[in-house]
Amino acid sequence: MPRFRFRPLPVEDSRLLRGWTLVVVLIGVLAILHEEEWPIFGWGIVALTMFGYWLSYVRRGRPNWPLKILICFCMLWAMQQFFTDLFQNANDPRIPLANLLLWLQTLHAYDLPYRQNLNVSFFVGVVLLAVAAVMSTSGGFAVFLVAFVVAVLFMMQYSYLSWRSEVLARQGLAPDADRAPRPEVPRVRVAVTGRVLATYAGLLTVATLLGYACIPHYSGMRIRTMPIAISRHLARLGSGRITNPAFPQGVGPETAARGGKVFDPENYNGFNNYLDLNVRGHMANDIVMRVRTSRWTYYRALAFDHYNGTSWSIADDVKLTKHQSASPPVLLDPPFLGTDEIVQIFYVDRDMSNVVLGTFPISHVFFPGDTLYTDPFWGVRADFALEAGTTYSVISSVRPEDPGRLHRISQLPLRRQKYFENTAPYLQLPDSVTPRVRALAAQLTAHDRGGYDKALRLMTWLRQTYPYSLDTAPVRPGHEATDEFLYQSRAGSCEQFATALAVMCRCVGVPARLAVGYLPGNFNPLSGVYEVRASDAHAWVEVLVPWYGWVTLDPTPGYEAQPGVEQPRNRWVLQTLWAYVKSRVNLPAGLSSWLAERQRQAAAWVAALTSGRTGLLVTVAVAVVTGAGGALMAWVWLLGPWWRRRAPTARLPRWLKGAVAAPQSASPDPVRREYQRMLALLGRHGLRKTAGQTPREFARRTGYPEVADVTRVFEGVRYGGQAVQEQDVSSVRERLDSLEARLAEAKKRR
Amino acid sequence: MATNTQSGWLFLQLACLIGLLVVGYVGPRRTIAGLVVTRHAVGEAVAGEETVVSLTVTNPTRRTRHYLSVRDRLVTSPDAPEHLQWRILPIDHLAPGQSQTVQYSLPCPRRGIYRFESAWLESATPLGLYPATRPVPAPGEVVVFPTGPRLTRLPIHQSVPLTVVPLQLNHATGHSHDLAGIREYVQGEDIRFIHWPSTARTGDLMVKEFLDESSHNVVLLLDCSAQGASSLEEMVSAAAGMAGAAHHGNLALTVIASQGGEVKLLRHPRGQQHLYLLAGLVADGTLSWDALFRLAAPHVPSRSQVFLLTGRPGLTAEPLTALAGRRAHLSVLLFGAAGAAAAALGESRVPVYTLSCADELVERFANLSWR
Repeated sequence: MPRFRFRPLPVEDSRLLRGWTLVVVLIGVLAILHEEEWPIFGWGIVALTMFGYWLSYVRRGRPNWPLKILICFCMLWAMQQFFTDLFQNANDPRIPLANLLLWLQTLHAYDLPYRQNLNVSFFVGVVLLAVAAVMSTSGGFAVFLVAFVVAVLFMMQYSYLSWRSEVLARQGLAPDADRAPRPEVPRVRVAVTGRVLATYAGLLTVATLLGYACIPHYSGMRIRTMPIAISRHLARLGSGRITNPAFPQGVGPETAARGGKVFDPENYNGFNNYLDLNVRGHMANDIVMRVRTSRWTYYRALAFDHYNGTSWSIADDVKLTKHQSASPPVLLDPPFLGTDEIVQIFYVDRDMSNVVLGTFPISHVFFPGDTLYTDPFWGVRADFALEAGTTYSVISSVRPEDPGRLHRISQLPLRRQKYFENTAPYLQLPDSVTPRVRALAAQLTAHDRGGYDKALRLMTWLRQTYPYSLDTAPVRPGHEATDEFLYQSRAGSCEQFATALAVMCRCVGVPARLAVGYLPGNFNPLSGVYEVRASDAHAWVEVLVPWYGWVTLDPTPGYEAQPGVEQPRNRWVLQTLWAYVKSRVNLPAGLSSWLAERQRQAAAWVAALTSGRTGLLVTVAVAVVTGAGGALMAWVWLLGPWWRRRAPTARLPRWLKGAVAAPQSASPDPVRREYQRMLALLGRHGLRKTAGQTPREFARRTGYPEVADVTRVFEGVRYGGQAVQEQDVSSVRERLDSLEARLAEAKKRR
Repeated sequence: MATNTQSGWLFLQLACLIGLLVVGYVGPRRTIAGLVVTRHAVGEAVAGEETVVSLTVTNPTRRTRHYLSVRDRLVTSPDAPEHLQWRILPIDHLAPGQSQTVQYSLPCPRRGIYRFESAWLESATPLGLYPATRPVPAPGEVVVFPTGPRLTRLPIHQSVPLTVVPLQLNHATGHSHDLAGIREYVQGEDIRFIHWPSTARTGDLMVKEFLDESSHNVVLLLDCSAQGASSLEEMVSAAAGMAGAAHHGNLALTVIASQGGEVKLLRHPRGQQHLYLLAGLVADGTLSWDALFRLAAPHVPSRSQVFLLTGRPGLTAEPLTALAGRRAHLSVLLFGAAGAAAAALGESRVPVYTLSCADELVERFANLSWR
C-alpha cells in the first residue's frame, strides 16, 4: 500500500490572477444582483467578496483553521436560509438558488490559497452568470456577458502563466519532492497580455458566432417548474371588473367608452367589456411586455359574444366565477382541455389592464395574487391591476388543431353534428345586419356543408378580397359595421376583418365570437423572449366546431390564418436572427421583397429536396458522401502514420500515395528517390545518416551489403554523372526489397 | 438547460464558452507553428563535470509569439531518473524575425557519447487549455571523456617477451627502413615482409627483419566483451589514466579495443583522439580470446609493451601465442570478477594485476621498479 504523504500545493502569489478572478466572479454577482433588482444585501455581498479575496491573499500561506471552521458554519446558515426561502417560494426556486450561490461564493472567497481554488472560482462565475442569463429578459445582459468574456480571457491567461512559472520552478525536482521552492510570481504587464488576447479577439468572435449558429435551439420548455410569480404588493380591486389604463381614472370603462371614444395608443381599448368598432388609430410601438413561451402562440385576453351593429360586448358580464387558491397555481377548469401544455411567462413592462393573457384555454395560472375571476368565455381577470414589473405564468392545455379532422367533422350529416355548448349566444345578430351581407355569406358558402368548412371559406375570401388598413373612416351613423366594411370602406383593421367574419359566420348558422389579445410579438433570439408591443394588440375569431370545441381563425390578411395549428418547431438561429433584424430595421421595399422571394425559393428547394422519395434519396446520398469522406479523412490522418510504419512499400493507389507515404524531397530521378527511400527505411530501424557522413561512410557503418550496392549505384548517378539505366533502377529496387525483408527479420528476432 | 428555460442568453453564454475553447485550442498551435530551432555545437565534457547546451529559437514569421517553452533532453541519457532529464526553457516573447538563445547546463556524470535528436516546442498561450507540443529536429552530440587515475609512469617490459619459437630466430623487428637481415617466417607475421628471393632460394618462407625502430611502444588492448560489461567503466577509466601516463612518458601509444565483432584501432593518437575512442566504447558482443588476439596482433608493433585490460574471466595462456610473433611484452589487468583467471596464466610468466577499481592502479604501479 503506498504511503500517504501530504504534499502542500504551492501557494498562489500572483496578485494579477487573483484580481482578475475577482473581476470574473464579481461580474457574475453583479449580473445576478442586476436581475434581482438590487436586493438589500447586494452591495454587502460585493463588499464581502472583495474583502474575502484580500484576506485570502494576505493569509494565503497560513493554515487558517478558525476561519475555515467559521466558513463551514456560515455555509450551513446559507443552506438553512435557502430552504426557508424555498418553502416560502415553492414555485420559483431560482431566486433562492441564486441567493444560495451568491452566499456560497462569498464564503468561498475567504479560502483561496491555491491556484486550483481560483480556478474553481471561475466555474462559480460561469454558474452565476448562467443563473443571471436564465433570469434575464432584456438586452442589457449583453454588457455583463462581454465583460465576463474579457475578464475570463485575462484570468485564464494569468492562470496559465502562474502554472507555467510553477512548472519551470519545479523542473528537475522529483515528482514526490516534499516541498517545491515557491514558484516565481509571473511578472507580466497587463498591456502585454492584453495585446496577446487582442490577437485572438477576432477568432473568439468568429468561433462564438459559429458556435451560436450551430447550437440547436429547440423550442418548448421541457420542465414545468419554471412558471413564476414574483411577489409584489398589488392593490386589490375587490371585484372581477376590468380596469384598463386606457380609460380615465374614476370613470368606469364602460361608460367612458360609450360616452366619449377613447383611444390610447399605449393600451388597447379592447381589453374591456365593451369593444367599440369606431375607436381606431395607430397603436404605439413600445414594448408592453416580454413573453417567454414554449411555443409560438396568440395570447388571448377576452372574447365577446354580443354584437349590436357597431360594437361588441360581453352580454353575460355579471356571471363571473371566482377562483381562489392560497398558493399558486390557481387551477381553472375550462371545457375542451387538451393534452399539449404551452407554458407562457409574462413579464409586464407597462401598466396593463387586469386581464390575464394566455393561449385559450388556460388551465393553470401562477399569479402573485390569490384570487382570479373568469367570465363565461374563459377570459381571466385578476383581482389586481397589473403594474409594470409584475411577472406571472400561465399554462394552457391546448388540443392541436388538425384541419383534416375538422374537415371530416364538417362532412358529417347536420343532424349528427352536436355542439358541446349552447350555441344561441354565438348566433345572435342585430337587425341592422343588411340582407346583402346575409346573401353574400350564403352565396359564398353555398357549396360547403359543415360549419368549419364554411368559416374557412369565408375567412379565405376575406383575406383575399380586402386589404389591411388602419386609416379607414368611422362607421357612418345608422349603418352596420360589416356592411360598411364590405361595401363602403373596402379595407379595415383586424377588428373590422374579425367582425366581418364573425357576423358572416353567424349569418350562415356557424356559432362564432370575437376574441381580442396580443400577437406573439418578435422573438429576440438573444434573450429568448418574445417582445410584445402595444401595436401587437389584435382581434380574431373563434368558431365553435361540433364534437370538437372552439377553433381559432384569423381573417386579417398578413397574419397566420390558423394560429392554433402551429406546431412546436426547432429554430435555426440564423433564420430567427434574420427575422428579428427584419422586424427592427426598415429595409427598402424592393430589397425586402427580393429577399423574401429568394428566401421562398430556397425554402421551396429545401422542401423539395427533403420531402418524399427525393428527400430520402438526398438524405441517403448526403449520408453516404459525408460518411465516406469522413472515413477517408480519418484513414489518411489517423491511420496514415501507422500505415507508413507498418507497410512502407505496400501498394497503394497512386492518388493516395502522396497523402500516406512519408514526405520526400523532390528527386529528379528514380535512383535518387530510391536512395531516399532506403534512408527512410533505415531511419525507421534506428540507422540514421548524419549530415556529416558521406553515403559510402554511412553504407559501411550499416554493414548491410544491400546498402553498399544501392549506394554504389547512387554514387554513380549522383556524383559520377552516369545516366540512369532501367536495369539499375530495377536492381536497386530488388536490393531494397531484400534489405527490407532482412531488417524486418532482424526486428522479429529482437 | 437553455431549452428547458427558453433562455436565449444561455445559448449565447454557451457559445462564448465554446469560443473560449476554440481559442484555447488554436492559440497554442499558432504560437509554436513555424518556429525554427537550431542547436549550437555542444562542446566536449569530462565525466563528472557539466557542459552548456544552447538552443536558438528563431521566429521567421510575421507574428510575435508569446509565452512558449523549449523542452530538451538527450536521447540516450546518463542513468538519471526520468523527471531529471527534461529541461524546460522559457521564452516569453519572440518578435518577428527575432531569435532568442536559451541554454542550460547539462550534468555529465558518466563518460559516453550522447545524442540529441529533437527539441520540443510547447505552449498553451493564451488560455492554458490544450497545450500544444511539437518536435523540432535539433540533432547534436555530447562527448563525455572518461577520467582516469593520475599515473605518472607505466611498468614497461617487466616480463619476458612472448615467443613460440627459439628466441634466436626472433630478432628485433620493427618498421624502420634499415634492414637488419632475413630470417624464417613465423606463423602470424605480416606477409608484407616476406622476402621472396630468399624464399625462392631456400624453399621456406623467409621474412625481412628491420632494425628496431622504437623500444617504447605501448599498446592498450581493451577487451570490451559483453561478459565483462560490469567492469567496463573501470577498464575505460584505467585505460584513460594509462594513456595519460603514456603521453606523459613520451611513449608511442596504440589503443586497440574490441567492439562488436571486430577491433577498433588508434595508432599514435594526437591530442584527445584516444579519449574520443574511449568515450564511445560500449560492452558489445563477445570475441573469443583467439579471435581477439588474432585480430589485434597485426596492429601490435614488435617488442612493444601490451597491456591487456579485461573484465572477462577465462583467459588462458594458449591464445596469447598470437602475440608471440610480435615478441610483445604482455601485462594483464584483470578487473572485477575476472580475477579467478590469474591462476591459469601462472606458467606463462605474464604479470597479472587483479584490480577492483581503476584507482588501485596508482598504488599497484607505484610499487614496481621502473625502467
